[in-house]
Amino acid sequence: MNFLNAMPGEIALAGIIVALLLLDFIIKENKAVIGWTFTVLMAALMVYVAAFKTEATLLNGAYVSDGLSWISQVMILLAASLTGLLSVQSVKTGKKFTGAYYILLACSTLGLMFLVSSKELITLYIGLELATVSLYALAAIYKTDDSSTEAGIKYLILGAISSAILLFGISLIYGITRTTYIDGVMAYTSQSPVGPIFVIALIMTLLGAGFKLSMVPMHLWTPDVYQGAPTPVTAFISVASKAAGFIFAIRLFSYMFVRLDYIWVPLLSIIALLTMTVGNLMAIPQKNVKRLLAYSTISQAGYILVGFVGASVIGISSVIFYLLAYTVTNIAAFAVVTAFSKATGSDNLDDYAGLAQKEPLLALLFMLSLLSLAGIPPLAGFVGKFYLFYSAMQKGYVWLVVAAALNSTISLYYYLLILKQMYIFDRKKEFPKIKIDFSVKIVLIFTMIVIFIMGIFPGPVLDLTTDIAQSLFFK
Amino acid sequence: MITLAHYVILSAILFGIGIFGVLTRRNAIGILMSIELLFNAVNINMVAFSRFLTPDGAYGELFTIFIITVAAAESILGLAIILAIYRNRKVLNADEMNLMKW
Repeated sequence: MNFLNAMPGEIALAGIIVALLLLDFIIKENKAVIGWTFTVLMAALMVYVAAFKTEATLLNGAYVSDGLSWISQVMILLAASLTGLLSVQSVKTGKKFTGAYYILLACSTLGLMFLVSSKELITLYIGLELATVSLYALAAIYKTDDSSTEAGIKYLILGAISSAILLFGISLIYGITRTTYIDGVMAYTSQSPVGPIFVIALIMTLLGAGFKLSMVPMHLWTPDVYQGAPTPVTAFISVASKAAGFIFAIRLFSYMFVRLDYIWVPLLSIIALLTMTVGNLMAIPQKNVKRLLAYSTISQAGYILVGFVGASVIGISSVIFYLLAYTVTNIAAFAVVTAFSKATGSDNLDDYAGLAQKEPLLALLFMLSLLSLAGIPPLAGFVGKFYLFYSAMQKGYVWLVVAAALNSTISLYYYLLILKQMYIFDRKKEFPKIKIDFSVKIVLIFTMIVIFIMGIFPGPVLDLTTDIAQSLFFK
Repeated sequence: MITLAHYVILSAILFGIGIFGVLTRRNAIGILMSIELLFNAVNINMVAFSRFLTPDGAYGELFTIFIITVAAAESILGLAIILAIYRNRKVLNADEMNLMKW
């Protein structure tokens, strides 16, 4: 099989990384050009990957281009180009590091694209590490800023520990099944009974994968990293890295361990419950908007885990649909935060008081994205949540659905706290007029259109995700 | 006679020591060293499984080379960030890196 035909997106992206390096070398003064180049190339690559879907298997099944990897690569490239747009006019790294910033972002995107298409544990691990190591550096990119470096080191230490746990689990799986291919492990689990060591290995891989999803025992890094990292990087971590993490989890659990669902489904249902409850309860007292959104993404991860518990095809389909909706919604929320903190230099919730009087449009957009996160119709988040809970209902997890619905209500409380600040309270401090940059405007317009389209006409997207989920199980 | 079980037990002990070190060390560099122990525990496992169970394929050895490379990259980045923090704030202990909590 020809590599160039099978993975054109990845090869083009590797070329883009080299091109950005050269560009950084050539351009001495106007470094913003690199950011725009990155954004435009990512958008172009996304259109290309979306338009020319490839179906291929490489290296004896270690690397595949299938429907699942196709839609997640489109999602990752979309997130990368939107992050590029958020960064161009607001990330102030100085001339020396602007090139490094976009190159690291591109490397991370490449790693995530490898992660979603590999079906072999070594390849999977390399993709995962390429993505996360670049993100550690990105989180600490403001190297004279105390909170940015602190976010970087916390992310790195906790990330390294969790990848060591994942690796230990993988090594045990390799020792038991004598293969590192996902298909091989699946064949082993369907033929032979599994012992306690295999269960330990499964739990360790669950915990290791849970780091990227900010699943509850592994969620401790999330608030600190989200608060300390530059806001566009936070948006990228919360969207692209998390989406790829969920695709990784689909490959591991809904595919590789599908025969062992009697072990991991009860476990995951409890973890889902804990994740959403902890995320929501911890979000309520937060005073920093980025930190609040961090806890809100933890609880969102809990809702998505409900989809894993649910019936197989509709569960996977609803997970992919929700990831799409969540990607655009969260980027929209972080776009508003970026614009606000660029103009005022603050992320404090109290400083959002009276935003609606001064900046009605910005406040309205923030309200729409928060309501979509909370799952209010007719926005995209509502349809996504509905299908997630529906899939868990199909399998009879009524208690989990009830708990998730209650949690949605709790989440509405702290989203409404932000709205109360913006719409009811008066301005306490005077801030300069917020000028929304051209690039951030594009992001806001695009994400709002997608949120409304996915909320009002979810049919075509749902058909697409259902097809993909079916092709995963019935070849 | 050293059997596979010896290697696996050694690796499990090393992993336990690594986890203990990660949890109890205060110095950030000490934590990075404990993380190295975790990765090396995995490496012992991989090489032993590869030697005893799949002698005709080199998956375990391959995986080990990749793990060593990635672990090196990770610790270099970690040291660089620790150095940046030390220059800014003269802090090396992990429990003093507490600008953000809860």
